[in-house]
Amino acid sequence: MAHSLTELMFEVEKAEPARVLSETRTIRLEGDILLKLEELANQENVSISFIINKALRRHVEWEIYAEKFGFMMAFTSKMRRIFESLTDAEARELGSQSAENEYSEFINFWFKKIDFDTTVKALELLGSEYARSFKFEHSFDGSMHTIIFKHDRGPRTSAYYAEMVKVLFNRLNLKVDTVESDQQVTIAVRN
Amino acid sequence: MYHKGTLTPRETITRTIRLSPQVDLELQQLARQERVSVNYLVTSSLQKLTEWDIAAEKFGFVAIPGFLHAKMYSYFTVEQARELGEWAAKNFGRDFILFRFKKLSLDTVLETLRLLGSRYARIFSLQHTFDGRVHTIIVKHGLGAKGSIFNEQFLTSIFKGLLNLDPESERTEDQVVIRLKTPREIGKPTWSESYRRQPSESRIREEIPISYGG
Repeated sequence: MAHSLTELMFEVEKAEPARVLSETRTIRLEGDILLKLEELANQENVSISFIINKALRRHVEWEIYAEKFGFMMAFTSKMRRIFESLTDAEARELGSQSAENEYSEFINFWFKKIDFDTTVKALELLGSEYARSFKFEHSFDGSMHTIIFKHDRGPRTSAYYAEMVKVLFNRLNLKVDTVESDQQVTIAVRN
Repeated sequence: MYHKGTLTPRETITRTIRLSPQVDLELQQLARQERVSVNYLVTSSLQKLTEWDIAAEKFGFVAIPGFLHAKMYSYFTVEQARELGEWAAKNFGRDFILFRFKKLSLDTVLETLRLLGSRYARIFSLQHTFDGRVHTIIVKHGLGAKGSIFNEQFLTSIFKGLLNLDPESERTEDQVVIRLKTPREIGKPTWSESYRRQPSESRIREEIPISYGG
């Protein structure tokens, strides 16, 4: 009996999906784009509308700002090789300089102010499906924030990111501890 | 509605889509700022998706601030920059061209450089001209002297190592120029196809071994 009640509840949930507000818009597309979108939708087993929405969201959330700010694309293996060519001290120096310059500019440019929330949001953006600099995880247990960057690009990349986050959070008067491994950096941030 | 097989690439069709109000609002604001139509923004972002985003994500591209990239090169010795350029041509260049275009030819190499220099990748800005005899490829990268050494080596290794051509190169601090003599125009059939179709006289004059390198 309990089993069938559970099934019934699932059915009710399916029958009444949450309503999402949306606007309808009529667009004109060239044939080749539409055919490619259709092919992509079939491959990924989603609707064309889903793909169009995803692409447009990416455009307004990332692309216009990334282009203005001067983000460029780099092949991940090349980045790994560049970092492997650096010494540990050079990677840390570069991380520290990047935090003081490029990443501070990035936070200001995107969020208009630098504080704990915007710093975390900026790191999350770097780890998003748009920038893909690393895979980002963030949790908070009530007293300590734990942030993980999984980059899979070796120990020098870990050294670089560890130094970068230390500078970013230390200047907000927060204590930072990092644990570095070859593929990931774990960051603990406390008041 | 349209039917597969009856729609030609340049034909346009209208389609009604549902957008989240936030995305719709931002698109309208952006269209006003840039003085273009919403339709133009939608089309260009979908074009980017099909031409670049899917391949870039699958192939493992990441976004980094351009200034940071330039700073990284400053840590290199000349020899390291050269080695990295050669490595990138043999590995990234070859793999990406095959991944994206399925074959190595002068056309696909040039198309790859166009993509890397496009607004999508923004790795450098590219200018390519062909006077009927010589291709001139100008890569402006803004990465400084070591970045120039990297790019010069990357480009010459692609043409030499992958296509067995003999490019001439010049470099300054922020730019590399490649000159490449070829027997045919861009946009015609691929290198190997046009080679087979050459009349014997011109083939003797222009004969270049067809090898895609090691």
